[in-house]
Amino acid sequence: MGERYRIIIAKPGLDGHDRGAKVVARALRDGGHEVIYTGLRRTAEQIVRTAMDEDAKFVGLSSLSGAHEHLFPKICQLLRESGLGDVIVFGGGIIPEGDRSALYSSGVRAIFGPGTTSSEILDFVKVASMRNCGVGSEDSWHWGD
Amino acid sequence: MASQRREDWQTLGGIDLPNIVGPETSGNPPYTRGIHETMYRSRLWTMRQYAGFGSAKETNERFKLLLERGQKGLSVAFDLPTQLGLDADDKLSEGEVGKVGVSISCLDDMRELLSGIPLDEVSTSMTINAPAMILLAMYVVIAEEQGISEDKIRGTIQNDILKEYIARGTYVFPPEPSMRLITDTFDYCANNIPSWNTISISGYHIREAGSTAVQEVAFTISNALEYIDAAISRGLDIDDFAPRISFFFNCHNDFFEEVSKFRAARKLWHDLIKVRYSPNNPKSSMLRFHTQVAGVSLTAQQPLNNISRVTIQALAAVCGGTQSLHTNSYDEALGLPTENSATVALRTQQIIAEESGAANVADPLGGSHLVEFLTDEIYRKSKEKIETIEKMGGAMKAIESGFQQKEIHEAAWKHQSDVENDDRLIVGVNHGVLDEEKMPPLLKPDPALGEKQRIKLQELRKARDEINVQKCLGEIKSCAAGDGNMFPLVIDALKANCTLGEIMGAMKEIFGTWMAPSGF
Amino acid sequence: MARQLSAIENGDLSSQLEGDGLVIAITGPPGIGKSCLIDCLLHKLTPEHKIAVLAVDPSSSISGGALLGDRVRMSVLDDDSKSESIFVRSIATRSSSGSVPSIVQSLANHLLGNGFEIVFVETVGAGQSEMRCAAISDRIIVVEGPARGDGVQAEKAGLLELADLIVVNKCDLDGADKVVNDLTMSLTITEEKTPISKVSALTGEGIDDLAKSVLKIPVRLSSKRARFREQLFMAHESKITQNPDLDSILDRMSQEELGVEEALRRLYE
Repeated sequence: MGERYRIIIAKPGLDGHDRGAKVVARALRDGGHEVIYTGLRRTAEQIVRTAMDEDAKFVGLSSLSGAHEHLFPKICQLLRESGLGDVIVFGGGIIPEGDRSALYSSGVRAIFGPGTTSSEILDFVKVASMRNCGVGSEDSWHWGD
Repeated sequence: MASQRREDWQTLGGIDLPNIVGPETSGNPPYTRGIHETMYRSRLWTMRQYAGFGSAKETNERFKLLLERGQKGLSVAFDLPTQLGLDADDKLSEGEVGKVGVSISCLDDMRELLSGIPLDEVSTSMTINAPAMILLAMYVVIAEEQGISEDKIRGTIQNDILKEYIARGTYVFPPEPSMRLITDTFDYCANNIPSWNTISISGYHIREAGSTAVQEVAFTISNALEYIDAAISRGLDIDDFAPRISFFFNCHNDFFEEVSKFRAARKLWHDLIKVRYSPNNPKSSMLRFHTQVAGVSLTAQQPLNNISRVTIQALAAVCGGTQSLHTNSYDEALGLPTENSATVALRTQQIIAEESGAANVADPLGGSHLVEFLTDEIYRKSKEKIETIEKMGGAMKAIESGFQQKEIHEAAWKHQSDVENDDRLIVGVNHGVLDEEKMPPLLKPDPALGEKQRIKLQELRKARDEINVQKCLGEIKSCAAGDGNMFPLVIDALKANCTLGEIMGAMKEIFGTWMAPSGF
Repeated sequence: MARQLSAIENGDLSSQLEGDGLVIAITGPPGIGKSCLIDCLLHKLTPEHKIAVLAVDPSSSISGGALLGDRVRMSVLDDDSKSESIFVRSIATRSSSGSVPSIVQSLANHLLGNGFEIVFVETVGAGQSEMRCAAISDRIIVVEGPARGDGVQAEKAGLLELADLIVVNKCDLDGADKVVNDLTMSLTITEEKTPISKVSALTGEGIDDLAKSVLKIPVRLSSKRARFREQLFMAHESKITQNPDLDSILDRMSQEELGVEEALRRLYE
C-alpha cells in the first residue's frame, strides 16, 4: 500500500450536487487515504481554514455550477497567503475545456471531468505527491500534461 | 370521449389504428395505462424546455425564441443564489450569479424576465424550492401588473423541499418550517390561484444523485405522502389540494425499465391514495408528471452521441405517458446549452411526436410480456421500500437519519464500480473510446453580470421607502413566529421592494437554517 | 499547531504541553446525533470560550483509509464570529493500533496547552480502543436516543458505568421517554445515580440547560474509578507493547521456554 495522505474533499460555491464528490471521497478512502468531507456550500475561506486545521496534503474541489472559474483560483491564492503553499489542489465537475488552462496556471494540478475512473485519481495523488507540486511551487506541471 | 387532433389514425403504411390495443383502457383507475382515455390523440405532451441563464433580459429573449419555435410552456431555471434565496450582491453569491440560470433578486428582475410574455396564455414552470413562495408571489404581482388576475395564471412551482435534503442540496430552513411554508402555499393557492400546480414532487434529482428506478419511485412517493399528511394535519381536505399535486421524474437509458417505471408509479399512487385517504375527486389519485431525460447519462466524451441517448430516453417517457417533457441538450455535460444544441433538443421531441407514431395510441407497450413483468416488479419493490420508510416514522424522519441519502450513495457507488470494472459499458467512456476529440462551442454567461446586479440592487435600496421595508419585514417575522399564512405578507413585502434575500433573511431569523446528513 | 498535531498523531512528536482545561468525551452509538449535539453546544459556548473538537472515526480495516465527515454537521463553523474560537480536527483510528487513546490524550493535552479551555472528544463508544478514547477524558457524556427497538445501546457496550452524565438526544421523537425509563431502571442498581438530560439537537430543546451545566458536570466517583481502571489497563498494555524485548519474549514463550508469569516479570523489568 502506498503512502497515506490527508485529503479534503470540498464543495465550494452553491450547487448541491455532491454525488461526484462523495464517490471520489469514497474511492480515495478505499485507496487508503484519510478523506475529510466538508459538506455543501463552503466558502473559499472555510475550505482553506479546514485545510489548515486538518493539516491536509491535498484539497479536492468539486463544482458543477460554473463557479470554478472564480472560486478555484481564489482558493489557491488564499492557500498561498495562509502559508499552505505545499498543499496540492485538484478539481472536478463540469469544467469546460476552455477554462482549464487558466485553472492550471492558478495552481490547480488536475481537472477530472465526468467519466474519470477512481484509479486515475489515485494515480494522480501518487504522482503529484512525488512531485511535491503544492500551490506555492514553481512547477508548472499538471496532470495530463 | 375527448375530441382528437385528427379524425383517423393510421400507421405510416396506412394500417388503421384503434386508440387502445388490449383489454384494459386508459383513463380508468388504477391508471396503469395512462390518466386520459385518448392520451396524445387529444393533446400532445407539453414540450417544456428548462431554460435560463445570465440576466433576466437575456433569458426573456431565449423564452421568446423558444415560444416562437413551437414550445408551449415556459420553464425557468434560476441561478443558485436565487434558488437559495440569496441576493446577487450577497457575499455567498460570488462567482455564481447568472451561472446555471437566471438571476432574480427583486421584483424588477421578474418584471424584466416576463416582459412581453402573455401570462394568461402560457403556463410557466419554475424550478424553485426553498424560496418557492416568494418567487410565485413575484409572478402573481407581475401578472397583476399585466392586468391578469391570480385565478387566470397557470403553472408549476417545484416547491419540493424533501428531495433537496435527500439529493439536490438547495435547502435553507430546517424540515419543519420548510413544511410549513409549503402548506401555507397549498392553502393560499387552493383559495386564490386554483390553476397553479403547487408542488412538483421530484424523483428527478434523486435519480441524478445515483438512485435506482425503484428508489426513485419509492422515495418520491413517500415524500408525497409526507406532504399530504402535513396538509391534512393543517386542516386541508385531500380533494382541496391533491388534484394540484404533480410529479417530476427522470428518464434514464434502460428503455423498458423506464416505460414500466411510469406505469408502476401511476398504479401505486392511485392505490395508496385510495386506501389511505378515500378521496371523492378522481383527480386526487391521478399521477400527473413532468419528465426530464437523464442529465447524468450524458457523456462529456463524443458529445454528439448524447443526441441518440436523449432520443431513446424521450421515447421512453412518451411511451410511459408523460404530461410534459424536457429533452436535454447534447452539450450539457460540458457546460450550458447553446442556442443550437437547445434547438436540436426541442426538435427531437417534435420528431417523436409527429414522425415516430408513438403518440398515436395510448400506452403503446402495454401488454408486452417484459413491460408488464417490470411494471409488477417495480410496483412491488417500491411499495416495500415505502413501507420501510413508514416504519421509520415517514420520509422526514428517514431523511433526518440519513436513510435515503445512504441508499442513494450506495447505488451511485455500485454504478461507478461497475463502469470501472467494465461490467457496464458506456459508449465513449469505456467502449468505443476516441483518442482525440473536438469540443463543440459553448455558451458563456456574462462574468460581469454579478457586478451589474450589485449596482442595480444598491440603487433599488437607495430609492425605496425604508420605513415601509422594515415594517413589511417585521410583519413577516412575527407571522413566521406565529401560525398565520405567510403568502399575503410576502406579496406586500415584494410590492414594497424588499429583495428576495431580505425576505429570506427575515424568515431565517425565526426559522434558523439546517444541514442535512450526508449519508456516508 | 495543526502540523504539531499531525506530528503527534504520527508518533514523531510527543507533546510536553499541558493545560488546566477540561477534556470532555462525548460518546454514543452511530447516528445518535453526537456531532449535532456538539454543534449545538458550540453555538452556545463560543465565542466566550475557546473550544477544540477531536472527532474520532474508525479507519477502514481493508484499505486503512478513512472517510471523516463530522465537519459536515458543524454549522457553527459558518459563523465567522464564532469559528475563530473553535478548532476541529478529524482523527482516524488507523489500523488496529492500541495506541489511539494515548495519541488522543496527547492531542487533547497539546490543545489545552495551546490555550483551549475545553476539548470535546467525539467517539463512537463501541470497541475497546474507542471506549478508551473516552476513558482518557476528565468527564464523559454518554449520548443515547430512541433507537429502532434494540434497547439501550450504551449498556451493552459497558459505557454506562463510565458516564458522568447521560444525554438522551432526539427527545422530539417517540420512544425517547422509554429510553429514559430504561436507563433509569438500569441505573437504580448503582448507588450514585448518573444524571440524565433530555435534549433535542434538532429542535434545540434542553440545549440551553445542557450548555450551562456542561462546564461543571460533577465527577461521579464510580465513573472516575472506572476511567482510572481503563487508564491503568492502557498503561499496563503499553508497557508491554512498547518493550523492545516483546518479540523475543513471545518467541521464547511459543517455544515453551517461558511461562506467562515469568514473561510478565521480564516485561516489567
